[in-house]
Order: sequence, then structure tokens, then C-alpha cells
Amino acid sequence: MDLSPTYLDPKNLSDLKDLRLRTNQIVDGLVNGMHRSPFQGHSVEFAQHREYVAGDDTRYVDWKVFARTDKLHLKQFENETNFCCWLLIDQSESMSYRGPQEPLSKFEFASCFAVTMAWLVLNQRDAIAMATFGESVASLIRPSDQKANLFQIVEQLSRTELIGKTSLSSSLQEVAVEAQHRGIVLVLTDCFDDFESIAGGIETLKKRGHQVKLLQVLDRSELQFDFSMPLKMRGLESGAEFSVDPVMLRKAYLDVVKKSRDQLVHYCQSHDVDFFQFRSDMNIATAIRWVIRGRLATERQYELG
Amino acid sequence: MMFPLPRLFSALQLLQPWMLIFGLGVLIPILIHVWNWNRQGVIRWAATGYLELAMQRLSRRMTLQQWVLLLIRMLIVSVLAISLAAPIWELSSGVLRSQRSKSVLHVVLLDASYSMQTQVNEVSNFEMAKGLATRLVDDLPSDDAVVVFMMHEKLTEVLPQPTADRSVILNEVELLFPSNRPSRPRSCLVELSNHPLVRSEAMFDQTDIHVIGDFMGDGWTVGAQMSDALMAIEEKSQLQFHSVVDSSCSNHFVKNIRSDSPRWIVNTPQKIDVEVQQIGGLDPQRTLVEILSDQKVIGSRSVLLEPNSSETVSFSIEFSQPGQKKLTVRLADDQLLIDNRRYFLCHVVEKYNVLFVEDRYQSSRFLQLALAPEPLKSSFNIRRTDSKDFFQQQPDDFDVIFLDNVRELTDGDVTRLRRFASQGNTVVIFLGDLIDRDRFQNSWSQPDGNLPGLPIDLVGIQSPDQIKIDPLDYLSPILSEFRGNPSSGLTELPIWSYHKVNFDTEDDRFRVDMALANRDPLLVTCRMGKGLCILMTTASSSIAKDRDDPLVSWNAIETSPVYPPLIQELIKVAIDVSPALKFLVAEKLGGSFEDFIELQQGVIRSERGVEQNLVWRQKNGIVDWSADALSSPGFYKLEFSSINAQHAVDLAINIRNTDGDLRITNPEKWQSPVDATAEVSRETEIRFQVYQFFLLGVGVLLLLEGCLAQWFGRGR
Repeated sequence: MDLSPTYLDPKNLSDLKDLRLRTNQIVDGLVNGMHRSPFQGHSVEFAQHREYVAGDDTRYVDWKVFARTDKLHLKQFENETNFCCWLLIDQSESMSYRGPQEPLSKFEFASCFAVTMAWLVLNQRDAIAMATFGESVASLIRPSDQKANLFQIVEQLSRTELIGKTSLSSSLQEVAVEAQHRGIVLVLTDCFDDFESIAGGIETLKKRGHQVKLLQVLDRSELQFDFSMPLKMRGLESGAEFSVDPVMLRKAYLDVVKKSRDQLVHYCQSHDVDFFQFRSDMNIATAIRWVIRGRLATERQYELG
Repeated sequence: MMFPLPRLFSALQLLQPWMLIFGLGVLIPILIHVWNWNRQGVIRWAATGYLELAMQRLSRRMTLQQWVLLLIRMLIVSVLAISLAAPIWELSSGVLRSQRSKSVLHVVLLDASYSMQTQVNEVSNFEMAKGLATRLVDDLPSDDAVVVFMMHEKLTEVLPQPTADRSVILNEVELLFPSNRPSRPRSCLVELSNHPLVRSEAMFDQTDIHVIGDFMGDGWTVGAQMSDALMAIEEKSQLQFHSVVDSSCSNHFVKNIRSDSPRWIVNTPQKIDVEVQQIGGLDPQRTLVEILSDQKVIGSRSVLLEPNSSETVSFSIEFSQPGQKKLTVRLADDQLLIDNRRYFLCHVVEKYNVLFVEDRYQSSRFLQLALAPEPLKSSFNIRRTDSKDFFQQQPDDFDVIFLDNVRELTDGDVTRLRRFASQGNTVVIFLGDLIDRDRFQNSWSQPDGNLPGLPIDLVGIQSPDQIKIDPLDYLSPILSEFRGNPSSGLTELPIWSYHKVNFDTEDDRFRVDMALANRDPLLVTCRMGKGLCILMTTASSSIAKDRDDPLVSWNAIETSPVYPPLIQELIKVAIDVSPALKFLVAEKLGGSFEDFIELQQGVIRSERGVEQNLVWRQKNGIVDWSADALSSPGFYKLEFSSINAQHAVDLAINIRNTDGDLRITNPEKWQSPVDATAEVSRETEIRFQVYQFFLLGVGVLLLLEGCLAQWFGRGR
């Protein structure tokens, strides 16, 4: 197995080593971690006091309260658990697009992002899981906080074939079935699917209590459409051919892109979904930071690539 | 310039229709469009959803925009091609006329200068001009009035009274023929602008002047004066020019004829240089130059003429018999025949006849010796007389008359001498001690009728201590041979006394050939009519004595080695004045001669026998004659007859060949519209050059294309 340096750039790792991906939701976890658990137990964070009852462990007596009140009280702690971060990566054929003179295709960018995020999550002893999907889930790596999962993810991504179309609703539905415990779901896709399908898939995950982050990855040329000469464009997924005068078409195309983005932004805003739009030539560490910062900020930030 | 009225569509003619080939450039935008589409790359694209949506939005608009831009670009190329094809908008004057209810006078001005005789395809420019005038008149509205003028050296009325009768106008035009005179367009146009018909606005609301000609020659050169003349006319009328010139025409003509001397000695070769000028043409042309004497060819040369250049051809001619020779220089025929002949007269003598008039015995012997050291071999026949017997001499028998220290001549003698000089001969006067200052001035100074005077004042006899000669840079033709030879002794001529003379230095008839160091003139030449008077302010030799001291001579110039060559040079200049009568076409004729027998008839006759009567006045043995100007070049003979005698004089008449220059004036420099293309000017429509409007249209279309492309999102 080749832990390819293209996926894990040491510089990125160095930049991100102090970051922690946190969830603002109550997640289910099996191991004591840093995320809030619905279960009370011994953990680091103090929750409340209760009166001592014979037989309780005297290690947890709050002697300061006794000094003040002459009564014995026990400290109760929130049971912090670890969480699972699901990385859902679109492996449809459209993700294979790489613009002229761009370093990475969309899928490669998503893969780099996913692997780097997996490393980060594993570093903070949280669990990571991954699934690739097209019209349905094509591959699945179950949650684990072991480093071996990282290697599996890398291996899976490196041998993934990009074929077919995208159907977010059916794919995310499948994932929702698999992801039994609430966690964070990062959906890395170019969103080249019907809006209803996207919305439907996200809805399914939300119902399961997951915190969903929609990460749209687009190539620079898809965003700016800065071609100068007339050309023929053949759809990657559909195979349809179009003769295009890009100079004439550019304005209308950009209007369509903006309208699509606005639609997604509006939906995400109204459904408590974090939406990010990345350009495939973006720095991975920056992208990671945006996602994490989006969590730390009290406001939703819809950062666009 | 009159603007074409857009709703009055007439034929839009193209002067250079071959330039429409550039209209093929209209295919360029299409080819670019097709080429661009054909060289499209194919790329695999992921965001087809976006693409489809965008194309749905724009499909119709894009197609329309593309079509609009394509059409505008094609239109730009088309309009540019049309403007390059030099479009002209023709409106018949009848159409224009219908737009106004004014009375219009049309002035037809035909160029009748000799250059209009240029033939193109056996039709002369003048014939074409007449044809053009005829068609122009035919096309005019029937109630428009017409007058006709001709111009050459002056303006000539052909049909000065305005008339609308077309048959009268056309008949008059048909009878016209060109003159042999050169053109003076500026003065003719000025004269026309001052003509009552043009100047007055009372008779007609509008005056249209149509100038039909070839616009050739220096006279048409646009300068300040010509511009002023054009503007003066255009203040009062509409001016239009119609050219009948063919731009390919060329012309050669005799520019100059030079000879060693117009008076030749028998059995002595004389050199004649003929300068031939070629104007126009594209290739070198070889032409034959011939010299004829009394209709017989006595010399011929072939010369190769480059376009717009001149060549000199030399002939060596010799005559065995004395007499007046009529020589003709003839060039091979070309498109303009009139300037291919040059006529001149040459007087061949056995010897030059020189008369010395002296009032002191043998005072002129040193002159005679200098002139003819060996009388038997000399070219000079020398005769001597004194002032008392001068009246017995016939000045016309001599080529040069020397007056050597002559005390007095009668007024009649002086008059004869003046006439002798004015007819093209030379009088050489040596002043000396015998000269009476007052008498001299009274006799010579003032003009006598038509005879020129010698307005020179004798201030007084000067005898300075030291006299140095100033040759004035040897510029005089008498002294030119001594240039570069300072040891000739010319500046050391031993002169001790001289007459100080004064004259008007602004009078360009005078030339000081030699002076003294104190700036007093020593040798003076004065033009008198067609001849000369050469005045030496000192005596001809040491025989002249000081009045106060008879032992003191005025000079000793005969002892100087430079004396004989100086006299030889002086006589060369003296006889190098043609005595023959020469006139130009249209120059008024006149002259005088001595004849004491009453004349009864005088005619001037051409070689073809055409006669014209002469007018003369005979008084005191002097006959002054005059005649109307002749219209054709050639040789003529003046014949006067009395009861038992005849007096005949040959004349050579030539054209004034300033019109031989066929450089076509650049019409662009004119303030008025000029149409200089032969084919188009054969029509009678009124033309307007409209290419400027087409170029303006190209500019507007370019601006529109740029704005639309920007608006449609091309993003330049």
C-alpha cells in the first residue's frame, strides 16, 4: 500500500497539526473523546453535583463544597465521547474533469482533502469512515479510529474508477443506513445532480442526526468559463456534444453557475447545513481550515472557493 | 461642391471598378468564422448541466447577435471596396435644374491653346472638347441660356449673347478650331470673372461655368495666383472642369536652337545645337531630328529620348553660297505636331561687312588691324568713311558699324544708326578727344519715335594719375575668354584718359563689361531694340590726344598684346546678334527699313501663298511697317514694291512653346472639383466624387461593430 505523498502533503500536515475537527452536535460515540455525549459518566468535563450516598466512590467528593457546606457532594461529569467523521466522495465521471493547466482533477482534490481530513480526525482519536458513490455507494470503509483506516482510505481512493453519474439522494440514503451513530458527514461532490436529489440526500442524513457539510468541488474553468476560442464540448457523463462560442456564452454561463450556487446556499442555510465551494486548484490546508473554521465560528459561514 | 440629393438616384459609377476585387474580402469574416469553427478543439466537459442551461438562455440571442455582427463586418468590407473603386455620383444637370426654379446661364469655356491639337487615336483633344461641349449643351434644360468662349493667350468670345437656341450654339461650336497660341489660363479666368455676364447677378440667378480643356502646361500650375483666380470666379458662379486629356500622351518639341553665330561665312562649317525635350511617356522613344534648308534635308540625327528629359543634337552645316537661308528643324511626328517644327533664318555671307566711321584720318587703323591682320584672308570686309560721308553709306549693307572718335553726326545719321541697331545690328562707339559731350547726348540719349535711345550721360573727360582696369570677374561675354589668364595684360591696359559716363544702373538694358578700379565704366553694352550699342569710354588708340597737351595721348592700348584679342572678342559679340526678323505666333509684326523710293504695295505672304496686306508709313526714306499677328508658324516673306523695284524680307514665325509641356495639373490641388479622367469626361453628366462618404460609412460601421461586440459580451 502506498501512502502516496500526493494525498498527504507534509506541509499541509504541518499546517494542520494543531487543528481539531469538532462537532457542535451531540454525537454518539463509543470511546471517551472530546465530543459531547448524551450519556453522563466520568469524563473530563464537570457537569453537576449530587449528594453523597453511601457506597459512592469517595474519589469524586468535592471537598471544597464540603468545606463550604459541611455536606458531602459528589462531582458528576459529562461523558465525552469520540465521534465518527464520514467522508463521502463523489466518484462519478464528472469528478474526473481537470481543466487546462490545472494540477488536480476534482476527484484528486477531493481525495487529497479526504485523506488529509482523515489524518486529522484520526490524530484527534476520532473515528473516520469513507464511502465513494456515484449513482449508489460504490465502496465503504467502516468507522474506525485506527490508523489502518487511513491506509485503507488511501488505497481505496487510489484504485477508484470514476464512472457513471451522480445520484446523491440514493447514495446518501445508503450511507445513512450504514452510519448508525450520529457524527459529521462531509460530502465531497461537484453537485452535478438534480437539486431535488441533493436536497433529498442531505435531508436523509439530517434526519439521522448527522451534522452535514456539503463541499462542492469545481474546477476553475467550470467556475469562470474563460475559454477564448470556439470549441466543441463533449459531456463526460452524458457524451453529448456542444459547439460553443465561449465568449458569447460566458455571461449566461456565469449567471447559471451563480444561480445554482445561490440555490444551494439558500437550501443549506435553511437546513442547518454547512456549505463550502472549493476550486480544485486551492490549497488543501486552506480548504481544511475553512471547513474547521466553519465549525468554530458561531455563524454559519458559506465559504466559497 | 454641390451635394448630391439622396432622393435623386442616378447611376453610381465607379472610376476604378477593378478595385471591387477587394470586395472579395467580404468573404473574410465568413472564412474566419468557418475556420474558427473548423479548428475547434474538442474538450471533455463535466458541467454540461450548466452549459445546457446557459445555451438554452442564449441560443436565439446568440445566433441573432452572431448574424448581426457578421453582416456588419461584411458590410464594412463591401463599403470599403466600393470606396476604393472611386465612386462618382452622376446627376444630370436636368435633374438638378428641376430642383430649383431659377434662371441659369451656362458658360462654356473651351481651351483652344495649341496643346489641344494633341491627337489621341487620330482625334484631337480639341475635337473631343467640342464633342463634350455639344453633349453638355444637349443635356441642359431647354430654357437654360448658354454662352461660349474660347481661351488661349486671351479670352475670345464665340457666342457672347446668351441664347437658348441649341442649333445656334451647336453650329458655332462646330466651326471652332484650335489656335497656335499657348494658354494663359489664369489671365483668361480672371478676365472671365470680370465679364459682365458672370459678374452681374441681375440677369440670371445662377451661372455655371464649364471649362473644357486638357489642363496641360505650366499655365495651369496651381499657385497663389491661380487659386485667387479660381476663388474669384467661384464667388459668383459654379465652376466645373472637364478634362479631355489622355494620361498616356507624350510630346517632344524643339526647346532651343543654338548656333555659333546667326551670320555665317560661306564654306565655313557652322555648328548648330538642337535641344529636344520629351514630356510624358513611359518608355524611351527614338525620334529623328532633321535640319532642312529650303525644304531640303541637309542634316539628320536620331536621338533616344527618355521620358521627361531633353537631349541635344549637334549638326555641322556649311553653305557654299551667300544669302538668306531658311532653315527648319523638324522632328518626327508625334501626338502634337505643331511644336515639331522650328523655323529660323540664317544669313550666310562671304565676309562680314564692317564699316568704320572716323573723323581723324586713320584713327581706326589699329582697330582694323586688330580685326583683320591679314585683310585678304580675313572674314571681314572693311570699309572706312567719315561722318561727313556717312550719309552715302547704306547701313543695311553692313553687319557692324564702328564709330571711332566721331566728332559729330547729323541727327538723321544718328537716327539711321539707331534703326540699324534696333533691327538687330551692332554699333560700336569709341569715345575720344573729338567727342562733343552735349552733341553726343542730344543725338543719342532720347528715343526717337519707335527707335530706342542711348540714355547715357557724358560727365566729362577724366585723366587720373593712375588707372587700373577691373575686369569685373570676366563675366562679360567679351571678356570671358580672358578668364583664368591674369597675365594677358588686360588689367594693365595703358589708359590715361577717358570719358566718365553715367546711366541708370537699374536699367537692365545696360551691362558694364569692363570698368576702372575707381568703378567708372570703361566698356558698356546697351541693348537697342533687337541690336546692341557697345561703348568704349576711351579712344581706340594713342592717336587721340589730350586737348590741353597734344603730346599726351589718351592711351596706348594698341601697344598692348591684349588689344587684338580684345577687339576680336568684341566683334564676335557685335556680330552675334541676329539681324533676321523673328516673331512668334500672335505677336504683332512690325519693323522698318530705308527706302527713298515711294512704295506702292506691301504684303506679307506665306509659303503657301496666303497674303496679308501690310500697313506702312514712309517718311524721309524710312519705311515703318506693321501687320496683324500671324496665326501659323512658318516662313513668310515681306514684299514691298515700288514702280521699278522690290524689297523683300524673310520672316520666321514660331509658336511660343510654353504649352509644349504636357504635365497634367494635379486636380486634387484645385479648390474646385476637377475631373481629369478622359473616359469619364467624355460624358456630360455632372459628377461628384463621393468616396469620402463611403469612407465615412466605413468608419461609422466600424464604430457600430465595436460597440455591438462589446455589448454582446465580446469584452475587448
